[in-house]
Amino acid sequence: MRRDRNRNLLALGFVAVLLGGGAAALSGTTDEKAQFTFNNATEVESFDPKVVTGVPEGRVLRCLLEGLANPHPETLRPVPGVAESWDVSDDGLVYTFHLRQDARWTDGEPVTSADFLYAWKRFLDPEEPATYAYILDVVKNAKAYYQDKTVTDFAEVGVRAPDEWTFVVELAASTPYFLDLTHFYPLYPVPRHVVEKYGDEWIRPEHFVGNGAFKLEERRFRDRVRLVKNVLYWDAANVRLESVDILPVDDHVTGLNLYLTGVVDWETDVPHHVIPELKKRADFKPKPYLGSYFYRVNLQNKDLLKRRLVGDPRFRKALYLAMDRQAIVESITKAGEVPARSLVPPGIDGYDGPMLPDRNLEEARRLVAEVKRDLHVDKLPTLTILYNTHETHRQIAEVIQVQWAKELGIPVKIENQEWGTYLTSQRQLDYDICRAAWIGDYADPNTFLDMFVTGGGNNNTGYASEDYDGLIRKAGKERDPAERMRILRRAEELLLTDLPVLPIYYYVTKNLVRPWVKGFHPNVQNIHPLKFVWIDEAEKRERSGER
Amino acid sequence: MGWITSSWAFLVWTWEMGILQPIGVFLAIMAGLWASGRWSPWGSMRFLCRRLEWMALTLLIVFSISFFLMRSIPGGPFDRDKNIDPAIKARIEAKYGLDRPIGEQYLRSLADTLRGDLGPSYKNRDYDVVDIIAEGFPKSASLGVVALIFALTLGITAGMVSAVRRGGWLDTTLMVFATIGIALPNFVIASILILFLVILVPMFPAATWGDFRHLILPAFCLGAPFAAYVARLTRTGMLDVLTQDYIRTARAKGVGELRVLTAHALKGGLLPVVSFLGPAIAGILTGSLVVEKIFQIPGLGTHFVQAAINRDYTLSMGCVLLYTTLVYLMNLLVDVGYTVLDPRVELD
Repeated sequence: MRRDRNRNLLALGFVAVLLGGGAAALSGTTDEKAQFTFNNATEVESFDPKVVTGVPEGRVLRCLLEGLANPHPETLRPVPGVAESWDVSDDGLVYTFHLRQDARWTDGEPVTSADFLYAWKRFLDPEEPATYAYILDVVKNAKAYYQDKTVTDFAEVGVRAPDEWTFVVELAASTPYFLDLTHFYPLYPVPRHVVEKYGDEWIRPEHFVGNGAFKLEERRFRDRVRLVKNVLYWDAANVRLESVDILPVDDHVTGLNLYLTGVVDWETDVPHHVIPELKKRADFKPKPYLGSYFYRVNLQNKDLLKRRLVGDPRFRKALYLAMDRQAIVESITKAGEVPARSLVPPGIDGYDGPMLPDRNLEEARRLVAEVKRDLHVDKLPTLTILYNTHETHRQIAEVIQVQWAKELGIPVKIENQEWGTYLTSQRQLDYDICRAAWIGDYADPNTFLDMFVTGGGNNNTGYASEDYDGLIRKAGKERDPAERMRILRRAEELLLTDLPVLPIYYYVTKNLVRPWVKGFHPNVQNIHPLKFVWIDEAEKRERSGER
Repeated sequence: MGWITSSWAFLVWTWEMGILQPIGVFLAIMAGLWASGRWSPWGSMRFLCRRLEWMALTLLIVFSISFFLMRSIPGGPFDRDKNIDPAIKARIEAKYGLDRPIGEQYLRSLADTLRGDLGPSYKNRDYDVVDIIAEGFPKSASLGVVALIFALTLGITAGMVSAVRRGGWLDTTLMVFATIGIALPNFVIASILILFLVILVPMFPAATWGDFRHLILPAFCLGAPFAAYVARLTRTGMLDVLTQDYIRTARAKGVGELRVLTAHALKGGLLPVVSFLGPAIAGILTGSLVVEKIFQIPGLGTHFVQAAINRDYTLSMGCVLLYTTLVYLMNLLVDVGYTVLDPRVELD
């Protein structure tokens, strides 16, 4: 009897200890809410500008670091950052940046031209170049230094720091969008004194030093990144957010729940099945976004019949003409996406791109018949549409499958692959037709068009046209901005004639933002520097009951 | 030295999340039993050693299969939708030793793992795998512990009541609930709970990690299917035991019904539950992809799937090894636990 009682006591103790252990793991994790919380939708790959390439990483780095310039919150045109001002030589080749003397790293050290020089040198390190190294191909000798290795001395690369407060960049050819790159996050400076001390470990929260409007306070993996206002920032007087929480919630439904219950002030994406509901709300206003959704066509198909068939531009044109883009944006994506009749989305200043004709079934059928006759093909082979596993991609592929099969008599299969496999198939040209998308890195048609030069790293279609390559090269050397845009237009016209890609729709942004969040402006690149964002506390108190 | 710090760190987490304490309590019970002469460790020692040998072998096999399996699927950790220049990618891969012959990679990786160094994560490049596990495991585990307590309390009570009231309306109702609990997937339970207890009546936070209130809904969702399972297993076990001779003897000796149930029958009736608990605890402690995704719990569950999708070889390996170890240890505890609950069982 007594032994039993003892054992019961032990069992009770066991349960108590379990409970205590659970509580212990929780203790000390409760935080006061930050003044502004946004959902970044994923855990960022890194804080190191040299390593990162993604949109979410950009959102975080724009808080922690500052480049030569900042993007204007509305127009995205460069406004002073670490550089107070800049001069451009008459030939458009030499940019001289005058750095402010009151810019500081969060450890109090001044931000000098040496930090930029160091960051860019590190970016172009021939032993270990940055993921985005090619973005600096416009700089004189940069590519020769990091890739071809025909230049071995960094001094010959077109980047100089004549004195502490002057940073000079010499370009290989006039590049109208170069100033946009000065606020592109991979080119942000890094604190030389910290990187040299800690090496790759410098991005650890205990070592991290930045120069942005906000300072890293805490980083909890897949939990949150807590930022506080950086009091040493040169423009701290104009930074109005005191603290910022960045959440990595990747499930859009969970993100929406957090927004609806008032935890999150800015949600960067929404679940697509509730978009019609959300569109009734005042705080959800989709706006044009610099991105295109399209299908790639494999022009080097291993199947010879398919290769002959899709190798005929008339056949690709027919595929394009038979797609009902309107139905896709209306019944599937639903956020107000615009059916695409070109690759480059509208909304780029100074660029008036060409447009393909709209849907035309008769013409499409005629083209298919013509191709079949000319190539002596009776029975069309089955084409496969490849997409990465995702509900929306599947629905779009199904719609197109039906349209091609019903209207053109082309047997179509659809196939999904998970992300990594899909990327590999695409890169190795192991597909017939493949879902793709591209978000512009900077507001210039070049970010879309130079993708399809022969052998380009993201071409992935086997498209090779000397004329096209020539036009892209020519545009790169053209100094007159208007003429350059005309050349790029001709390039896009050629691309749309050859159609290695079939445009489907242009993206829209899907931000959900609380009405009391001010200084948040829609723009084509969906860039919202938090430096300019503030909370209207009075309006927040008044309206915070609303859902 | 690496292995000392990492095993110390491991001990600290196990303590912090309350795994070490029950193991300690368990050892104390065993010591007590040994002292009272009811059980001797010497017979078990040989058994334990053999089990640990098997565990080492299992881990080696799991390591090898995972290693080659992961590298045999298309794609690599540095593939992105915006292709990295092949030359640049090659240099990044070289930095992580991925350019070496596969056999050499295997041996190096094995040597590192034996030293307790699981390497850097390829996808979350600011973190080492050990850091990621150290941050995630305690969270998944504490969620799991709460879910487990809930599952056991509810499951055992319901199972006992069902067994005693066999065939009655209470039995039917409870077993219908248990069947629903097993059949309903986590995310359905979660959606219903969120709809009612978060959106309509804001009682609990919608998601994220924070104080105890953040744990309740996810723990319920995580524990519900286990509770249902435990209820069914307890019922079966109890029904089996209640027909045994020794129960009749106890009743004949005039022992009260409640005492018959709790002191005599429950011990035997719980045997099926105990054997179910081993793997279940390992599973529940390492987190659930679905529950962690819906409630944005920064635990380990997500990594099991996401690391494989990202081709994050090192993180994926870390998760697999951790899970294997846990499953093995839990099953070991179950086997030992059996000998305590049922004197007829002997270790060998």
